[in-house]
Amino acid sequence: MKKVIFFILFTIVSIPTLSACWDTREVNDLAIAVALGIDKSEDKGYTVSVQILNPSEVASQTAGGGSGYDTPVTTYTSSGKILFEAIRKLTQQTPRKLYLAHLRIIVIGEEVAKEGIYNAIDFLSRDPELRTDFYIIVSKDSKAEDVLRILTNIEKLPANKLYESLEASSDAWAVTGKVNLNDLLNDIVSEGKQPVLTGIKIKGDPKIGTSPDNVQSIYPKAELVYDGMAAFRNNKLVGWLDEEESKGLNYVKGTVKSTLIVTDMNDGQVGIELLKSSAEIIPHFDVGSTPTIEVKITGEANIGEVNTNLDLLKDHVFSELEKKTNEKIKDNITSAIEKAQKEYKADIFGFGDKIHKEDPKKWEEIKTNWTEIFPTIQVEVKVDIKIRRTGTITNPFHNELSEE
Amino acid sequence: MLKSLGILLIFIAIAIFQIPQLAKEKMNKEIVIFSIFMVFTAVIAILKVNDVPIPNPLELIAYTLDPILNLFS
Amino acid sequence: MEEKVRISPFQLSVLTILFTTGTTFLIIPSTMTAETKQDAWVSSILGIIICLGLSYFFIVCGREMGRKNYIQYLEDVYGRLLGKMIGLLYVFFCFNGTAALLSYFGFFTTTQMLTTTPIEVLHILLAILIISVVRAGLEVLARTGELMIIWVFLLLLAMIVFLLPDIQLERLTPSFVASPMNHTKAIINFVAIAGLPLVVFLMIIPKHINRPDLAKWNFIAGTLIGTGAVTVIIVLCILVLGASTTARQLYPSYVLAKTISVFDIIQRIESIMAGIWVISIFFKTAIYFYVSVVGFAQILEVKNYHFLTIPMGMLTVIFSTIIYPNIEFMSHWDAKYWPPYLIIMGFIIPLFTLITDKIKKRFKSKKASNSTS
Repeated sequence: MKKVIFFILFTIVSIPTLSACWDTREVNDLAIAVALGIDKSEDKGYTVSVQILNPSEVASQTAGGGSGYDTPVTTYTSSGKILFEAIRKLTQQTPRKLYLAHLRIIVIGEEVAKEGIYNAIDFLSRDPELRTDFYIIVSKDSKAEDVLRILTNIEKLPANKLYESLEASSDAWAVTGKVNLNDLLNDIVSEGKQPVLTGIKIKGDPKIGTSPDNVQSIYPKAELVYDGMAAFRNNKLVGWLDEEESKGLNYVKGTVKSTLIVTDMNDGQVGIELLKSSAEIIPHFDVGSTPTIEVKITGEANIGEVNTNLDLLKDHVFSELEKKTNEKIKDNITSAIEKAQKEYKADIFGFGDKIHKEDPKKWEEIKTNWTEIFPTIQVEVKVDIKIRRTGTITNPFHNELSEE
Repeated sequence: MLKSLGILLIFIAIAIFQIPQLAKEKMNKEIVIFSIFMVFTAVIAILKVNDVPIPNPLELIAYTLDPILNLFS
Repeated sequence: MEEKVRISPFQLSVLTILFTTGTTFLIIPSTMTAETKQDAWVSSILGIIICLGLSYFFIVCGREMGRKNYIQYLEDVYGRLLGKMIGLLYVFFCFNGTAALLSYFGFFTTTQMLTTTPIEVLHILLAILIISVVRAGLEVLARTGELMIIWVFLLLLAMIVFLLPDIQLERLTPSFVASPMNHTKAIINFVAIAGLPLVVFLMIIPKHINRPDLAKWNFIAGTLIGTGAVTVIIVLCILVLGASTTARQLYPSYVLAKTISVFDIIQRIESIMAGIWVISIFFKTAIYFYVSVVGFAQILEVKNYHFLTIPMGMLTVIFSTIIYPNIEFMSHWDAKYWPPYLIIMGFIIPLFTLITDKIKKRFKSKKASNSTS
């Protein structure tokens, strides 16, 4: 009797708890979003565009054969007063409920960025479904919506293309910045550091970019190209840094993994491949009330390409190359600092943060008007790059050959 | 109503399961305590599912601690 | 009530570790960094020292209690009626503790993982486990602890190793800038969440330990390992997320697990990592529940406590949905009332009892010596 009752009780409890849970969501019920775009809508709200994976198309290896070409992703757009409303409204269009955990990239429209990104960031960090490992970029001269409508070659998923090429360009060329949600939040709340986000541009005709024609021709008519970085003051976009300035910024932030520096030499060029670099920001407090900043860049480089007659094995050539490389890097950095100080008045380098870390008491005094102080501080840039090797050959073979 | 009935059924089932065990060992005092406790819990449970507000024990602690905290502030 | 339940000193350490880490893992990084920012590790190390002092104090109490448990001891010192009333305060405390922990578990799971599951269901699931383990007895709980703690530490170790690439040492700077006031607040929070609740172990030591002479160091070692692990989590949160991000999160250590991504292969493992918190919360809740049931049985002077587990467990489930009506109430109550409440329950009452007992004993022995002379 007792056992029977216990058994019945056990079964009653088990049936609702073990058979299924409230939160099961099968893969075929999900619309997996891989990219999210945030724009302003006409009525002061937000327009959200979501790139949704088309699983069957991604899985099939022989796309284009037989049944023809289906797009690997579909972009839906919807608007609402706040971000979450816009996203929920999307269910009116999407065939399934949106699943945001696999987001790779978030594109913030330039207009939204200019107005401020606080509101967008709040939702992104509050929703439990979202993770923090996606990158955040800003669309330049176009809407985020348009960026998410361009089809891409090789990487079938445009979101993956954006993700991978951001990583590649950041690692090998150092003109972009990988910023995920946590980094962005830390920069926004920090009083002594302003955020920067990489910009994305549509090159070519965005109209053609949306159709399969774009990927079926051998050269794409419309492409997504990373272009410079957007400087923010507090949460508003204040201006863009061009390629050289972005590089300068990355040197100071110490995020340069590898890049190439082209220096002029004997009416030709020499390409110096930077292999590693590190940056040190040293604040000095001694003179007056405003601190001065010393930026020290050290690193190692190889010679990557020589376009001129040059005897590399002569001892002064290396030191001359080093000097020119240093100057070039210094130029990049100074132009970036000048732009940030004079035009944007935004401490994107984190000098304030560094002062805070070195001398918290001093920082307490100046932090309230740091925005006014930052443009006036003196920055001294010291670059010391050591060139180590010359690649697999020594002197360029065209040294001995005549020009004709 | 259905919910209350369900809860009542669960409580009766547990009582049927527990009371014979106690009776076997002649624990009469325990049976009384158990029954009172079960009735009390059942009443609270039924009140709860019918959305009758039940006092929060933490509020009680807060209420008794308030005068002490006021002394320090 | 006189059951021969005995656990080994090692099992006591295990239970102490699981008890101190319990909810502490989940919530303390944000409460600590909210007060002392990147210096939270300093205050938590100071907190460890206080916790060790406290656990030594509990051992001293235990030594005075001899072969009695805490509520029997209270009855001894204050007389039957007053002793029972104070004992009831502890039962009430543990009952609330159990309900609050169920609630914590529910809030955590519904916020981070099972967002649409009714919270009551999660409470009931955990409560069923706890009722069955407490019915089975302390020995079973202790042995389960021995098995599960391996998993907690393996997962913890894995988490630390996987997060090494994301560590940025400069997040700790500027160091030593938090004001003493903030440090005090942070330390009080730390001790109130990790150290003072150990008072419930007075129901287990020394009565239910098979080698009480060894229990002392095992208990202190357990406290040290538990609070040490908590400190490691705090430091990890600061190093990986940064102090301000940590302070803003509801469950920073879960976010920590979310950020794990080693070579894009080992990632999205936060649900496995959640095992750390679920296991330790389970043990903390079970110990609270065990103490409340045993204490209640003690006060009613019944033969065994087992028949009380089901009604008491059901009552706990009901109150777990009432006790914290929302997150706002939770954070307000935990910040304002929990520390003073715990200081009274975990320090002032035991200390007062100890002093009263000493005075009484001295008085008695004087009387005895007077009468013989």
